[in-house]
Amino acid sequence: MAEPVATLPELAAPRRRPGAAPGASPGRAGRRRPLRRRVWFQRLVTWGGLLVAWQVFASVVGPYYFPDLGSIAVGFVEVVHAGGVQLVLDSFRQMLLGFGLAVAIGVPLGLLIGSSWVLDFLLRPYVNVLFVTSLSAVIPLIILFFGTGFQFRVAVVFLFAVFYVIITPANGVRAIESGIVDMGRSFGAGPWKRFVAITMPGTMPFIVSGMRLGLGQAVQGMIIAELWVTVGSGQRLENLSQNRELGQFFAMAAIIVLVGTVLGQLVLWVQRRISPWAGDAAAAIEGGS
Amino acid sequence: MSMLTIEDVTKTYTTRRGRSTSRTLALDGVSLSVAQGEFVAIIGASGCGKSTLLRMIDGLTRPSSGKVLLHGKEVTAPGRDRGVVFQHAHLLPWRTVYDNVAFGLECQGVPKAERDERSRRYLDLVGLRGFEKHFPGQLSGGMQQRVGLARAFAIEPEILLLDEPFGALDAQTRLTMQTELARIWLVEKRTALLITHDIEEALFLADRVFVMSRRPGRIVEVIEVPFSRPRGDDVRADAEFARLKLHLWESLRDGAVSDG
Amino acid sequence: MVAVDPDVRVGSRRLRVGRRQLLWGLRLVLLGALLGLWQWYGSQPDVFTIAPFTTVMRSFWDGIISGEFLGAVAGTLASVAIGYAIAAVVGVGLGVWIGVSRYAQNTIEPLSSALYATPVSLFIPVIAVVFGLELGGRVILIVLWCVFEIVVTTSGGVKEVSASLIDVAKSFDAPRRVLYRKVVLPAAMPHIVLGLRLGVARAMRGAVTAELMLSAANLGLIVLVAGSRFDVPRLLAGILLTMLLGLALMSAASLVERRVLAHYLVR
Repeated sequence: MAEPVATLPELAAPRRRPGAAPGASPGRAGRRRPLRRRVWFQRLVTWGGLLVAWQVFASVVGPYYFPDLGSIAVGFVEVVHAGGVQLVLDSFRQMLLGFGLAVAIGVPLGLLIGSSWVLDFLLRPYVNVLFVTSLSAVIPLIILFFGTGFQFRVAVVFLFAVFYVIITPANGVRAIESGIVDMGRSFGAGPWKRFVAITMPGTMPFIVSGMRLGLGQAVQGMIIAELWVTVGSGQRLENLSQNRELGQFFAMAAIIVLVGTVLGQLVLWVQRRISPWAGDAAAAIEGGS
Repeated sequence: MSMLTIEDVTKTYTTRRGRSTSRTLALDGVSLSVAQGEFVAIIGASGCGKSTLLRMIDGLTRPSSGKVLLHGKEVTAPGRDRGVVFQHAHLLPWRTVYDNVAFGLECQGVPKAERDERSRRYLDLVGLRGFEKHFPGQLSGGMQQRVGLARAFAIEPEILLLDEPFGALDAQTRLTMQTELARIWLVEKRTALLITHDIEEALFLADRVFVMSRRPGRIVEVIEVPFSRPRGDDVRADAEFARLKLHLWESLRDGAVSDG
Repeated sequence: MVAVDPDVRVGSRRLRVGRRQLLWGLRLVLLGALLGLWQWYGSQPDVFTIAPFTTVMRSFWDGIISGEFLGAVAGTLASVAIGYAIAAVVGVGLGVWIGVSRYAQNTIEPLSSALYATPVSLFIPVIAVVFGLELGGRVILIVLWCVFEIVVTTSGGVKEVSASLIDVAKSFDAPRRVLYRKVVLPAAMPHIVLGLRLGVARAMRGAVTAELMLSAANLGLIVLVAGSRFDVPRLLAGILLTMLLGLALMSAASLVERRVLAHYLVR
């Protein structure tokens, strides 16, 4: 058959005139697709349309409820001017401490749980409870423990991040093909050799993936903690929204998202460097049972 | 003189599902022997227990009754005297081809200089010179199996165990690899035991072929393969080859019917 | 006479006779030990931040008797239900669209992925200000909290529907609607249901977060008030209640997931 294999997106393709060859377009085969099919064009039109709709909506609803694009742009300038970037970076720096703790404790724990059926059976219920519990509910308890200072924020970030940092390596250990472990035993590899030569390198992509997932949660925890006790970036966000400086608010939020994304991409880059053979290991693993 | 002796081996699996226990007899009184330097093949339908038998010889599992003896001594654990080639090569994806071949040697504590020498030699032998720094992910199925072969050969085992080594490859690659294995084996002349469901493969490669029945597995027949070595591809077109193949096929089929 | 298989380490999970019971027993022992530790630690004279297990249980019981706990659970459940329902409809719809439409993949998917990666808590102040602190704002937060999970999982599942399955249906000249109903949806169902189940957990977490950070209500109120009053037993009881509710919802979701999958896969 000369027809190209049908793919799912083609279900949405517009009907063709009978007789016209499906998939082919006039001109050089496969090269000159109609303008409306080109990715950049679609994005331009759609995103441009969305921006226009945003602008219209903002002008209708008024600056009290919704910032228009102009005020967001101005907001960026003002936020940077008022030291907003520095504030965000400080928040992130503090977040990294709690995150680092979560990694230092969570990764070995996750590897341990993954390696031992017994431990997994025993500890999984508690890990699952962690998954379903709204950690925000525990915050008043954490305040009782740590007060509202720096330690509190570290503890909150730790709690938010630790789940994924434990569960992803644990699943990763399991994901190492049992055939490979068998192969190792067959060639006479003892338990230590198997751990060093098989388990560790095999779970490395999952460890890093777990870190990436945990990082996203850590940022969430950082924000929630700072909103709760009104310090740092959270305080600024709170003030801006209460003063209805919504343009600046969005700008500030965008900066936070940007820094978070850069960090996430950094971890992804590290993952690709360390373990080029693995794809996106995190995609295959999801937390909870 | 026999190097490997399997004496009346049986294997029963006990599985629990909820409250009920079921016992599956996988192997029922298997006996065979392999002489030094011999290449034998065991053919049987899927699930007849041939892989279980191989795992027993490798020491990964124990028989429920009966004995597996290598050079007269009972097999209890994996060791340096047996090398396995798996159906799926099970290469370590994070190691280069070279390091994968060296893996078995590492496990057995072979010093570095000798590891290097042997790894290079066997990589050469399987035709992968120049691919040392590649990763398994970059190799085709056939090439990955060559690495698996090199890895098993490199530890210079007393007996080579091949568990459907080409079963995961496409038909053409399979034929190529069979020819390759025959060539390599002529150079190395290790005692070898091949497990396969491919009758032609067994006839092409082995000196003797054992036929195993369906579960519970038993040896129902053994035949001598008359073709002299080196065996070229023309052997496959030989009339005797076709006759033996038909005979083995009938034996397999009947083995399946009579032992339900 | 065939000997019974000894416990052989072949890398499979064949458990010896009684091993399962042993492990369950171990679980109970662990639980008991943790509770015992809790009780002991909480009873220490100089420890104020943890109340002993028994005291917490008593407070829990009081909360139930007085109806406050159950009322709170009902309130939280109500907002979860509304938010989740909206998120499920929007999420599955968007997800399916992204999965089948090249156009949506080009334009909408990047947006939803970007939002998926954004911490939703960032928008808490804005929601508070724009949508108000009460139920409306809370529902919006819940929706935002869980909808992207559903979209991403659903679209992933739909995209994975094998092209060859589509080909087979098309070769039988199936009209598009039938194609969707009989091929695409059932094939993607495991992923869709998975996304919906994960969405339940997120919706629950979002609800409680909303009740703590937008306006104190229902479960959030209990926890907040207890915390500010240093009523530790009640605080712990409230947290426990939240955990139990979360577990209950997740169990229910898993059950539904299994039922749906069984229905779709057994045909």
